[in-house]
Amino acid sequence: MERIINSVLLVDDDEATNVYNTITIEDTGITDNILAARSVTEALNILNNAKEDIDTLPELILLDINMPIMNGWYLLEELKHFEPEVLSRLNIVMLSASDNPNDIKKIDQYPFVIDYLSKPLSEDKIQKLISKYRSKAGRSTNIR
Amino acid sequence: MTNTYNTHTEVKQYLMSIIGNSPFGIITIDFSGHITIINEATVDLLNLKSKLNNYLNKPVLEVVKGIKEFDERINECITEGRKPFDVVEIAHKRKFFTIKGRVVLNGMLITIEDLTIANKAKNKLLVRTKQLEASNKELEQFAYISSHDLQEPLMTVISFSNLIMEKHSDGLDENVLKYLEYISKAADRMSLQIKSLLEYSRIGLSNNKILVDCNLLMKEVQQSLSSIIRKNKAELVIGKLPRIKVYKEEFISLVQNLISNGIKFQKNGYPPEIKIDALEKNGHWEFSIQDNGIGIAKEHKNKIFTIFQRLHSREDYEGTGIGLAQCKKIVELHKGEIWVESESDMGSTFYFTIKK
Repeated sequence: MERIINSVLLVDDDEATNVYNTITIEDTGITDNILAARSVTEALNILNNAKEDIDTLPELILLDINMPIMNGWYLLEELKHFEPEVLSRLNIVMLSASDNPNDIKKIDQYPFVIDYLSKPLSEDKIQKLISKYRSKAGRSTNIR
Repeated sequence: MTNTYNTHTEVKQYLMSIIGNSPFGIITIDFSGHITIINEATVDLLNLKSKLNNYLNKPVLEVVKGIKEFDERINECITEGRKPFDVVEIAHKRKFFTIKGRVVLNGMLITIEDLTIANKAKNKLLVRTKQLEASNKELEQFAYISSHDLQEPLMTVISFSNLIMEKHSDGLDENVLKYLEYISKAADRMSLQIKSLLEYSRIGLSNNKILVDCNLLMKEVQQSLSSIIRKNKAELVIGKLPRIKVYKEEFISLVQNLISNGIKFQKNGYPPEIKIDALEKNGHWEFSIQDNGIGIAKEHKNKIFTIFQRLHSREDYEGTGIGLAQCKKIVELHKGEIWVESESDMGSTFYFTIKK
């Protein structure tokens, strides 16, 4: 696949998961720039810095739901305070090891969350995700 | 009222002995609220100090004291005319009473019932129920959280062993690859096990009962089982089924589980034949799912409904050992029973009942 995404941000407290997800995304070739954050605080720092120059914002964020202290939902709540032009650039995919029906329902509350994927990530899942959202023209997504 | 006593004296003696020995407190009063009859039980229940006779002709409110609602009812009866009343479950001097008033000839009958023991039991039950509800909630929460927390490290095991096998297998010892495959397969199995455990813990939590036509529902079941039906050349014979109120999702998984078990536990080389039927019985429907499979030995008949109980090696018959435990929980959710009739090698018939 061609390089179509400027950068991807991975948010997961588990190092092994971040390593695995990095390898998987690298193998799809959709981007050369993969960042990993081990906590919500770290992710917020990255995003706060990036929003100064809106083009450096990661176009795809893979967010683990279950993390200690501040979980994925907490990050989503924090993001609500971001400027609308920043939010419109974000495409967040929630990642979870268990398909909790309540969690799946909950993502509807956040327009910048575009999908829910169950772990483990795979090249196939990434590619499906990309084609699904590329074909949806007119959405508030900037994945080309 | 009829009686076999002839003289006035006989009748009077008889009635007084009934009143005197009644476990209920019994008082009668006249129009002005003065006591005309009082029995031993009243004195006991209210813990009165004087002799029985001393209370005769006294105002009832001087004897049964300190119960506001009773005071009000008696005063109403004296001033506004007699009418029946129930003063229910009042706390009085560390006891619980229900006091009832009824209109009788020349006055009123007042009965006092001691509910202290029943009340204690009721309170105990209430506390227990609350505790049970709380611990059930906790358990559900626990199942969820633990399943998630177990699932996550497992995903890492699966991901990395697959990664090595797929992308880094060049030059690896054949044994290493074999061992990796064992790791990966075991982790897959554990993941499946955790998932079904979670499903098991969630039975009956989400929905309400709805009316379904089991004949239509069976079409859905056949649809979702179509690949294993085709693969095993199984034949399903479905009788006329009723319309009943069920927890739909759970009911589907119950029927699906039993049918796929029937297909799965098959003698080598025999095409499975599954008969599904329902009989209307007194107050419930009795469903039966009959197969021509390997059957179940007598000594295992009860074991099979226990969670994680397996009777066969994974090599012979796959599975997590949760299916029938799940079935049992679903049937119990519908206040029914599940059992099996079978003999080794002779096929099995699973029965379950669903309350009408």
